[in-house]
Amino acid sequence: MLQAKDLKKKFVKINDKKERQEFYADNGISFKANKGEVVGILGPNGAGKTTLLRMIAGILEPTEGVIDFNGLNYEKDEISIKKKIAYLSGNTKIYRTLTTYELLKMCGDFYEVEKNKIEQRITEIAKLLEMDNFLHQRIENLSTGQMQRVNIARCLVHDPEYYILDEATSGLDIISSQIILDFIKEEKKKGKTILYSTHYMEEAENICDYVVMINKGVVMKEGTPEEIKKATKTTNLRDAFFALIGGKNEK
Amino acid sequence: MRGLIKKDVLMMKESIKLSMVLLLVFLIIALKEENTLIFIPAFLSTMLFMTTFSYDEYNNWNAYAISLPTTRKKLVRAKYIANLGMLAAVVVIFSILTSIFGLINNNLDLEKLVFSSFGCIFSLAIFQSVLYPFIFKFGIEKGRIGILVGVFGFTGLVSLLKDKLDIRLSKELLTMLENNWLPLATIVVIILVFISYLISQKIVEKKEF
Amino acid sequence: MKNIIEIENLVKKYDDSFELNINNLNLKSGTVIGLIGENGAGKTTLIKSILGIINKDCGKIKIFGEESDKKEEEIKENIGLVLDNIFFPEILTPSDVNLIMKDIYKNWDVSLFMQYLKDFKLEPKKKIKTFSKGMRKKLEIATALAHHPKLLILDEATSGLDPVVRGEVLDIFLDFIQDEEHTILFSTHITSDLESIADHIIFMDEGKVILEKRRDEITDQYGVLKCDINDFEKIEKEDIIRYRKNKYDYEILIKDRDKMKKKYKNSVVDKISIDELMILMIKGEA
Repeated sequence: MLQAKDLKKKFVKINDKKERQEFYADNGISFKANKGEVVGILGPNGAGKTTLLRMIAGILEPTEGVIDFNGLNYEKDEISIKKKIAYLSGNTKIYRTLTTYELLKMCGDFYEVEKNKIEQRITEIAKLLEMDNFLHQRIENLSTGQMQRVNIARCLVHDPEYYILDEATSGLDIISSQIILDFIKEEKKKGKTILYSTHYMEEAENICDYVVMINKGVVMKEGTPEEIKKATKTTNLRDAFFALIGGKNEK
Repeated sequence: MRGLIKKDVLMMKESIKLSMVLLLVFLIIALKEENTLIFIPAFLSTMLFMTTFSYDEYNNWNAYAISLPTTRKKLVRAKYIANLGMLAAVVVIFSILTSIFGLINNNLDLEKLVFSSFGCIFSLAIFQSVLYPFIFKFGIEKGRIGILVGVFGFTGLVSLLKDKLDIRLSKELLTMLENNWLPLATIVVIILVFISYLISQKIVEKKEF
Repeated sequence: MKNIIEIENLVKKYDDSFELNINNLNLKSGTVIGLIGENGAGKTTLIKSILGIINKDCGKIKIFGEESDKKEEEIKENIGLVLDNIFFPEILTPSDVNLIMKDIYKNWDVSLFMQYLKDFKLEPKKKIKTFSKGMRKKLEIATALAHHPKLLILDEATSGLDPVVRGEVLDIFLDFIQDEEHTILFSTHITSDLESIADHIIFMDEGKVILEKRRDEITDQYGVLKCDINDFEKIEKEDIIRYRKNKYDYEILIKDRDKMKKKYKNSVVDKISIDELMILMIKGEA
């Protein structure tokens, strides 16, 4: 179980008049994700999703609040938590001159995966993400869809328990996206805890068990997709998103 | 093409602020020293100009520029003009500063000043001429390695040749060179820059962005 | 209607077995053309060839009736662009972009550009580096429109945008297309965007155009026929465009839904979404 309690993150920016201005990218966000659950983190660009996920991944330190990984927290158990999480950020660049296989092996070393286990794990992931036919090709020769699968594979070599996936399917075609979504469904069955941010509401509706809608750093609404649709009197999450976040609905 | 040159100038904005601070330090040193102070700021500005290539590459600017109403040729020309223009501007500014200090300290050596100003422009123009085709061909990262290999290779070659060939120039030729060094060097440098420009243009013409 | 882009025998080979090969493709002026296909199908290569960012091996590309490599600059005056990961160096600011573009496009409209910045809430003096993905895209769109182009070429212009912003951006494109001389060519993975604005669909796979149709023709005529194995064997080969075997049934891509409904009464014939069409065309067997 993963629990965020009242997370806040303060940033300072310099405005046009050269004044220092403090603002909260996240301003008191709490939610819970259970084992075997996909929790969707949804909201417009600039809502604070990425900051939130970066805090949960231990890259940013929250200004206030606690993140609890089944009894562990970053203050005491940073290394043991990091061995249990996978974090896919929206803009990681990977070493383009390596082959997928070499990259995964290198990541295995980072996570101190035992030598005899890494081969087996790579075979396993390659199968899950349908990477067999390009495992030994240089990454720079892959298509965007293939590269994103490599990117996901990269954070999974150590068989983590918690997945933090930020816009995993952005810019991908329907076929690559579907491989990734099917993969997430499989992992969920294995009892992983998955946080998933996306701009595609159809996708969120398809895979999320629970949805946290955030805007301007606060939770607007949370619940199962059904609950959210009911509360906003809409028939799909896309309309619910418009109802909650505002902006005019198309057509 | 004016737009393309303007882009490089705007990109230097940040670096110019930084260099101002450095230059202030040099100015203080220059007040005490008798040496002319031109080469260091000129070299610095050339190096800083190289950063524009890195930023261009990072956001694939060249591909974007080609899609605008401009041509690959102009893209190359703008880079050469921006860099040489900046070099000339820096040298002029510092020549003036050096003359002022010279007048204040009463030790202005005009001949030395002309020599070092032009020497500075020439050497850095040659440096660029060698470097640019490499950068256009291989990108800034690999281009840097290229220049290292080039510089070491060239010095190695020269020192080898010096031992092998006993070059002797006639006295007349030497005096002729000495008396006319400025126009001669100017012609040589212009030809070199022009050749380099043509090579870069050919490279960019064929390049896939 | 006039042709805005005409392509003949365009070939571009890459060493690693990818080849763009387009026999004949004409894009009509005054339409919105959606370019779809898998990542790596050649959409970006096609767009880059049209713009001359990459050099074609052979073939002819005419834009506005002129050959693209001859009147390069005049042609590009009338094109607006949003490309994937291709833009100004990010240490520049929107107001720098304005200063530069003023000297690049003859028709650059400073007040229009500033209006877009205001509408999109982009601060003119902030470096592009500090912008979020959505803000960057908005700046790219503002830049693409501020010289009153006739043709917009958009490569993944809406990816990474949230539904609200995506809606706003599509509205801008719809506005743009109100002028009958305006044309949009856009590639996307978000098929709901296609469904809301595209008139024409070009479907690419492995460097080739495998389907080029009006969108309403696809939605009105194409369909998916579902049946079990016994019925599948009774279906005539020529009626099958592509088929796919699932656990319990077969899915068959067909044309002319009404005719098929009458012909195969035991089977279910449904409308097909563009997503389903893509999956069947790429993953299905012929």
